[in-house]
Amino acid sequence: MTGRRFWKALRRNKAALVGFVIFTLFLICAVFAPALAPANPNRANFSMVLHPPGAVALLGADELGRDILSRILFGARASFLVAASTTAIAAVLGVLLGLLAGYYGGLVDAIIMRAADLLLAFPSFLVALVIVGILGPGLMNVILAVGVLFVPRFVRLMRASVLSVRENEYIEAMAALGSRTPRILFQHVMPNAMAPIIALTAIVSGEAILIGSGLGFLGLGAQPPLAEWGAMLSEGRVYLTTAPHVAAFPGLAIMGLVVALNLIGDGVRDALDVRL
Amino acid sequence: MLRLLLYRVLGLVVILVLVSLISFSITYVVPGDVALVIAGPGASQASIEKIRSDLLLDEPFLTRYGTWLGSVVRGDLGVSAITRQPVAEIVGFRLVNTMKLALAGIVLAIVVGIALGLVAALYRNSLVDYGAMLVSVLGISAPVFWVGLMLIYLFSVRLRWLPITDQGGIAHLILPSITIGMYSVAVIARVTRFNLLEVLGRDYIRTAKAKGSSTARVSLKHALKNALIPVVTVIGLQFGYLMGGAVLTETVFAYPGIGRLFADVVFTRDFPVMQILMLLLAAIFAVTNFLVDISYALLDPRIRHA
Repeated sequence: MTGRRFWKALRRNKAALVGFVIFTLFLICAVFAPALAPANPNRANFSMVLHPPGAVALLGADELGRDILSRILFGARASFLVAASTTAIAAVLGVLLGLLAGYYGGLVDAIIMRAADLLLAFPSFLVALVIVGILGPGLMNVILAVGVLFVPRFVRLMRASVLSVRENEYIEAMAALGSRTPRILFQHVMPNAMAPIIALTAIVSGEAILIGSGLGFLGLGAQPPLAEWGAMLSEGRVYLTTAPHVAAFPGLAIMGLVVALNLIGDGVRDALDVRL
Repeated sequence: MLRLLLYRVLGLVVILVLVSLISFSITYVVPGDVALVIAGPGASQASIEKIRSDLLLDEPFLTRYGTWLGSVVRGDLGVSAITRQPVAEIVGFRLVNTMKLALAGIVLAIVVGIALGLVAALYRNSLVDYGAMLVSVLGISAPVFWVGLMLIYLFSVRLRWLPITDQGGIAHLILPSITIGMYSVAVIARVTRFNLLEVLGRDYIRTAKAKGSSTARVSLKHALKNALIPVVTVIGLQFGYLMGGAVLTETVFAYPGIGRLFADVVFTRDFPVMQILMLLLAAIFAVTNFLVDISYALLDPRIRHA
């Protein structure tokens, strides 16, 4: 499929457009958080403790009187960091290993694919939980854990793409003409297999945010006072009966961003006409 | 069929052995001295030595792995490094609780998910379809722990229809099973819709319609049966997901299951319990996938005779 036809198909997809708009809004929030936030996200204000949403504070204040809107704006940074870094780790490692497995076959293929199967043999959230448990809590360890978790998905997809591209006669011709393997892999096999990888990246980054915020909710992610949506929700849990807004808004933020990523992912997948 | 079965059983055994190796090895990848980590700061030298000898920490890897696997297979799951309680005692009733929760969740997901997918596909591009797909995108994107908290707020705090925490009884299972099953409802709805639409476009459906079968009969008898085959795979995968989702759901509802236990032992670094839980959860996951593979072959003659 040519690039132009792909964009045309994607633009016709209204759901994907909506997703793209929501995504861009969140991105603006994350980048311009210092300018947009009405207050310092970490400044406690004891006259505002658990203040309900309203004119004084649009989304209310939390148990330390911190402005929730400001914390959500700054929290977007943590979510984008998690989504971007985990998918980068997973995509780079997964694409490389998938290329090797698909191109060389044999023992290399067997070892890489069995390792991937093994990682997929455990429920994914538990893998992330164990890795963070071993490395210790913190945003960087969450990124590492979730990144590793998603590697097998990219490996499988890339390997399948390579296997289908490799059958083309022009690849065989290049090998016959004496092109070296790395050149064939990176200049010809990889660009042809890239399309489904892009769709997977969008879908996986949504999952990364969900798992990352889940670990944050358990207290294993970003450590206080850093604003992170999952951790904010967990702090709000205690005040659910009296001040439900403290837990409600960070959750809405997570859902909004993940919905956007899923709509984009679905749109890209349909435009490319691939199954993931 | 027999060859396929043998092949799958062999695959299952290999996965279980590898999984046990990984579960056992986690004590090796912990930075620092495991005995010190478990004993905690300020522990006496004697108690550290006790942990070291209890866990055979000074023995070579294969000896330790062999001893551990041997006793696990014989049913001796060891004792907790923190409470000294037998692991079997800690895990037993919690496993039953989580199974109840996961089963309730998966039944909900199958019933609601297939129904949603079915109406969405039958009324393609109508408001019903858009509504069902909006619900499913929200279901896939909402964090489970948030959904749990919001359900508690709505039904327990505001409406006072349901109790907040678990005291036994079916009413206490309602909110947790909706929470844990929600994601699977959404996934199953999407997969059902997708496959049903694909099957409805096939030639044999047109033939059935041409023969004069009613639309409802065609969709339900011919199309749904074939469209559900891929859904079975998804259900199997979802069961594994539910086991992972159990950690967050059980934490939110203070539900005494193995999910919450898992989060607890990760915090306390209770490795003997953690090893057994990893092995157990991966085994449940592997056996579920094995059963899915087999049922897939039973449902689809093309695979059975391959």
